[in-house]
Amino acid sequence: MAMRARQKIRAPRRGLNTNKTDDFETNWDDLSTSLKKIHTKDASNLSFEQLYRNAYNIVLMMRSDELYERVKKLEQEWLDAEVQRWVTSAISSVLLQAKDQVEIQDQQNERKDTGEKFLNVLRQAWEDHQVSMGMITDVLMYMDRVISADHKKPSIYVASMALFRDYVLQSVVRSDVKLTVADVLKSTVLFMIQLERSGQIINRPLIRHCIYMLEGLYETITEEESSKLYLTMFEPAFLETSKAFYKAEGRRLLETGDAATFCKAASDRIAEERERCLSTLSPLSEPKIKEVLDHKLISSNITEVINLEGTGVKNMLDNDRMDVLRNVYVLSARVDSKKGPLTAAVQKRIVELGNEINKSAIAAAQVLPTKPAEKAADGGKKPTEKEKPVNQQTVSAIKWVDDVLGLKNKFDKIWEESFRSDVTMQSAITTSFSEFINSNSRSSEHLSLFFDENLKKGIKGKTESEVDALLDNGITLLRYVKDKDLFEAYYKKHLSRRLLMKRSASMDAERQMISKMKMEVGNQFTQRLEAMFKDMTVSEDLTSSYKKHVRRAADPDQKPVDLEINVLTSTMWPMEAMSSTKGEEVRLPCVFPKEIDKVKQSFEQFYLSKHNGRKLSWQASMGTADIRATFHRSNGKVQRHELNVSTYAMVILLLFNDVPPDESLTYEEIQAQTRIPDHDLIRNLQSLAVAPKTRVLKKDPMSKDVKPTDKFFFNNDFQSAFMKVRIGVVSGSANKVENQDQRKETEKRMNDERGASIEAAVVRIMKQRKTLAHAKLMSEVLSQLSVRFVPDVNMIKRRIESLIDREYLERVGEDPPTYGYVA
Amino acid sequence: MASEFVTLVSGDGFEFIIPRSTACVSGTIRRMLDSSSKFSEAVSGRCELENISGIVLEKVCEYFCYNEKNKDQTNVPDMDIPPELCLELLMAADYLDT
Amino acid sequence: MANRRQTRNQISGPHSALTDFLASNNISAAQIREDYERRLGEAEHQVADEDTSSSPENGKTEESVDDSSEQRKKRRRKETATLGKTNQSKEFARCKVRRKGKANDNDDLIARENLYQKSRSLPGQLDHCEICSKRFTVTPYSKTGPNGGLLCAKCSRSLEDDQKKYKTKKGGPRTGRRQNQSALLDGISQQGALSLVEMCTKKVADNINDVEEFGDLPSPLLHRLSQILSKRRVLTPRTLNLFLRPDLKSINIYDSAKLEMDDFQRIFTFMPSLTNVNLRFAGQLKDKVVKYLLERDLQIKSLQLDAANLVSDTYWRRLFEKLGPQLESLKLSNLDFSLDDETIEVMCRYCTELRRLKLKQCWKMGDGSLQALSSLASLQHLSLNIVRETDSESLLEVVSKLGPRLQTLSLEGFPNVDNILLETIHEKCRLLSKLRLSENAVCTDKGFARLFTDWSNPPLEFVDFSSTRDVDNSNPDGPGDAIGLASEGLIALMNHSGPAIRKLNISSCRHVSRSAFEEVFSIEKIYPNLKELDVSFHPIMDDFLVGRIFHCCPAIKKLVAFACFNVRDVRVPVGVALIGGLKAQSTIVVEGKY
Repeated sequence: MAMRARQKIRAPRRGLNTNKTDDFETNWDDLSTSLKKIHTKDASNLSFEQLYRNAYNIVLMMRSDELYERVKKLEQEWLDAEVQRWVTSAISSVLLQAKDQVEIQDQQNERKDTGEKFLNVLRQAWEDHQVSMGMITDVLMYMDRVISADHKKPSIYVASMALFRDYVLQSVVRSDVKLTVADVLKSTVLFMIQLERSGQIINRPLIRHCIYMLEGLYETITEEESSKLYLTMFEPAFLETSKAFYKAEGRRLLETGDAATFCKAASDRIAEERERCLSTLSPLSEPKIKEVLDHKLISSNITEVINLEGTGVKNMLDNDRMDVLRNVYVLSARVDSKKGPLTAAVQKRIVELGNEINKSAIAAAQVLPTKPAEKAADGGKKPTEKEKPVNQQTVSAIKWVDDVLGLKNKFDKIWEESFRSDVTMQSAITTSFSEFINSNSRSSEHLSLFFDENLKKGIKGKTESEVDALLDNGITLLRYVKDKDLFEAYYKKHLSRRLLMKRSASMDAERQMISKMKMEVGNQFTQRLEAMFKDMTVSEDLTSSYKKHVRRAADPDQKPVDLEINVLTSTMWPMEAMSSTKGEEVRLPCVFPKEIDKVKQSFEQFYLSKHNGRKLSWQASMGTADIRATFHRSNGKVQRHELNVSTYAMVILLLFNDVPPDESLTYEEIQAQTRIPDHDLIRNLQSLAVAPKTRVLKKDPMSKDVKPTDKFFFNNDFQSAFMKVRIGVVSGSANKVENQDQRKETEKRMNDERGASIEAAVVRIMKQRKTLAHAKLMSEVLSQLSVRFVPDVNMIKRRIESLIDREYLERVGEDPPTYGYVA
Repeated sequence: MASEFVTLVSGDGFEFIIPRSTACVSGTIRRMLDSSSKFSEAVSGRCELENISGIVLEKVCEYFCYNEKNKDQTNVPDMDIPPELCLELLMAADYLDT
Repeated sequence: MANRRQTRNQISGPHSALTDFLASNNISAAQIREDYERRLGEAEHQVADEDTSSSPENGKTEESVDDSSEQRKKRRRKETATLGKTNQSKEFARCKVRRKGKANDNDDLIARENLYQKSRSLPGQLDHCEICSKRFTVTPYSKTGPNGGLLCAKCSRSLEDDQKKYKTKKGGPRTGRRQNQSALLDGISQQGALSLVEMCTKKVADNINDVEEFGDLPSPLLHRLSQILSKRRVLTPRTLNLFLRPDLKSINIYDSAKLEMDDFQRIFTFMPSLTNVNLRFAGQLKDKVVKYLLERDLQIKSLQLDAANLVSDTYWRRLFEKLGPQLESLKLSNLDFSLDDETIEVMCRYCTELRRLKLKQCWKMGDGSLQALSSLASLQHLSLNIVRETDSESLLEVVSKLGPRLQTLSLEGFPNVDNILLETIHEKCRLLSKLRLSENAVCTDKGFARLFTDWSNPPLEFVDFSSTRDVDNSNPDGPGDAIGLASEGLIALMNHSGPAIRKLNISSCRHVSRSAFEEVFSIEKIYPNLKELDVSFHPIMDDFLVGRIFHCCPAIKKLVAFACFNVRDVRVPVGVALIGGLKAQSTIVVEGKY
């Protein structure tokens, strides 16, 4: 370091040739002539470096402010004199008298042509200005750097853009009319848009360029987003005219009176406006014009459209016009997340259609109004084929379910295809379905019958997935049913018949059904049903082990009576439904013949040895028996038939073993010997002696009714083409619609059961909470039970009262009424 | 299209031919050569920098290359600048927006 | 091993932060001590060896004779392993080049030599100089001779001088770590070369004593030079002269400590067109200078004086009376001797055109001054840093009177203002772009949240709410309703100002929760303009959150995270300075976009 001679650091001088550079005016003269040349597009002979140096020199003279102002002045003069004159000269008088009235074609065309000419000139002027200012700004870069650092003035580019706004756009076109260029621009563009809305083709890119200009200019020098000229000057007018236009458009479309047309047109308009914002105007306007459309075109008209007589939503639903519905949906969804009018219309229609189904089900049931009454009276003498749906009412019940499912399918499809699986719509549809389904008091029974029918034979020959779908459909309806406990009662009843009578077509399907219900309604609901199935399997095992036991114990010579037994847990099975006994009257059990009684006792012994302390009660009314009967024909021939009869019928027939031929037993004798309840006895005798094909007994006198004085003979002349003859019992074994009495019965039972459920719930809640206000308790009970049924508020109150009486609860406070739990 | 190289001419007549991209390290030269403007430099690819002497311009060109080379590096060591030139070079750098 | 296992089971007392830190970086003090003792032992052993051996050998020590064969084997094995490595090393290559030409060389031989050369150089041992063969004590600074042996201090010095002669000065890429860290602390994590302007400026500063004049250098460059000279403390009366040019309108001296009275006067003598005066650390600027200044009839519009403590109130008042009407900007700071309330009142009476006012650390200012300030009708930028305790009513008055026109509001030293101030700002201010309120333990989180909720002020660009927090040491988590800018306030702030914010300081706003940070810097948020962010003393800051910050702030240049102990191995994008991380020297730089 020390070795190097200290060299003087040369002080820099601006410019190597210091002559001529020190004079502001010289520099400025050079610069200003060149700037003008840039404006006149005559720049190719200019040296950037020279201009830059001119500006640089001036700045180094500390006169940058002055330079800035001079340039501004120069720009202003240029714009004011040249550009402005050029632009205004392109404005023809047609454009000035601009008013929006409907003009005749020629005028329109003329205005369009001159308008385009004007827009072209303006666009050219703007683009020229931008290009030249870009160049000028580059040249003056050094000045800009100093200016913007020191003085917080806007760059010369920004300043010159503001000048363009002031001296071109906001200049008055002619002194007689007080319109500025910007006004003319605005009215011309709006005119073009009006043309396009009425279907004509306009020069979109041209307009877009003019809009670019408005987007690039600002009201203020700080250039905030919100002060874009486009937003302050053009957009409000655009939105205003659009509002007016769409108000009128909405009215016009409504007048066509066709909802489909309206929706189509509205959708098209929406797409059109969107497109316009993107390609012709500014994307900034898109949300705003959307709002205009939503409000003026859709919101204010959609209700009317939906309710249009003949073409509205009702019509669309009835005719499955998916695409139109989709349009309606889309339009509604735009303006209202709840889609009020549409849901209302759809709901109304669903309830209407549902009620029609309800009505027609009732009507169908009453096609034969006498029959049910008759049946109720005489217990049904009609010898019905069990393979067919039992009667008109059952048919109508099943038809009801099918109809409802049909309706459901239809709306599901509409929901999926037209309503885009919208959640609000779904819940609206669900509500409506639930409403009309629950308005039919028999829906639970109908539904259970539907399952019964299908599980008995409906599923024969169907694939697994078809069965699955079928059951699923039923389950969907179950979802709508509010009183699930009622359904459970019916289902249990029907199920018990299916199980005991072995009517189920497929055990798999039964189990599938249970698991589906479990998923839908919950564990608790299916508990008892499952217990029934369990009883069945346990019984099977029991039967076989009993058989083994008999084989081991019994004397091999004696032919044992084959016993197949079902041991049922009494609480799980609908005993009352099975043992058609009424009320509490104590009955002596039926007297079985000796042979049978022996078997019975043997089984009881066997069973009780296994399960000590249980009590078996025999439900003879539910059993069947296979017996071999020998008929001694009068011609001496002997004919054997195997008869499959109910247990009671077997008991009756065995009586005749001890009766000499040609002798008879009277009804009363039979009853005395067997102690079969009247009701069952009558029916069994009917099927043995009255039904034409199974007349194993002869009755005297020969009539339909069975009277206590009637005599019965064994009919040795019984004829049948089959070896095995099945003799069913009239009614009672097939599942069908209940008659009035039965219904009352069921309802009564239901109420009792509900009462118990309510009490249980109340106690459960109170045990946990110790004290609770009345209103709270009510709501808790309601929410706990709503899965199974909708409890009646009065019933809950009564139950609470009764619990208080029984000292489970006590009143703790009066305001608000509060209860306490008594431990 | 414009050629890949441009010529920088000093006030005292020295010419430096360097790649266009390298020259564009300078903001001023970049604008000068901007093809969208129609200035004579953009057309000819020749920039006469009257203010700047050959010695300084040489150093400036050296810097352009140095800058280009170290574009993606961090912690770049400073270029060697002869002290006697530093004021003039500073002036030129300011002028060239470098 | 057994030792370590034992310690693991021991219940140990509290560790110091240093121990923890060392442990976390796998440095064990015990091991260091062991190593040291082992080295010491070896050295002593060797010294003893050498003392017993009769004739001192030259450089190459052979294997000690008394090495047992087993030891020898072990060493041999180790040696081969090391040789493998050495063969590949650069030094080896270099060494090979150096030795080229000797016929009988084979690689292993050279390597072995190297190995032993290295193994010899333990500080504290005695060795023989390679050149002069004199015995000397090896130090860590001992140089290696041309043949690999060590040199004594004298020889190494002469060798060094020799090398200097022919060694071409290479400014190779060896900028030290210290310099990098220094630059990093300044927030510079520059990618690519410095600009030529900046490089030249530094060069000029390096050689400032050789500069006789600045010639026509434009004033922004002078400004920069002044800054750099001040920083290097070389702004002397001599260098001041360089700046005194009659055509210039502004003078900026950031360190006037070395200037005397007549230097100040010279400024005003030589620069008649001054409009902008900025003199910091102007201790010698006395009444006389002010008097002179006033006589000169300067058109000063902008005046900034720092530490001009020898100016009396009388002269301050005269100054305001004279210059007041033309002043647009006035910044005074660090005055503990003068500028009392009455003077401020005079100032407010005369300086009616003020746009910008900054009063920092003026000790005599009190409530009277604040009350006077509310009359400054054209004020747009106001920065106050008050030393005395003031009545919050006075400040509220200022804010509500001036608020509607203010673009900058910076308040420091108001520990007692409460939410009412924030409400007043919310109601009155419409044009703010910079807002600072720091060192306050009264305003609540809710207050901050309300300030930024539905505020008709456009988004802020500079925000500083540092050290607004509760300061009860017995309750480090603060009260349930957070004090200072906390979770809600931060979320509201970023919702309001996110799009425009450029600089944000929330250091020590310690009640901000992690979930609030996660929300503010959640994956979909982008703060396009945020360049500087200070999150120091937020213990919940960790690598994940910092990563999120880098993700959400594409423009960020500087992230300050002092005392964020969970920021450990964060990946720092190129061009971003992360300041204050635990491992300051090893911030991992990630190429490309983060």
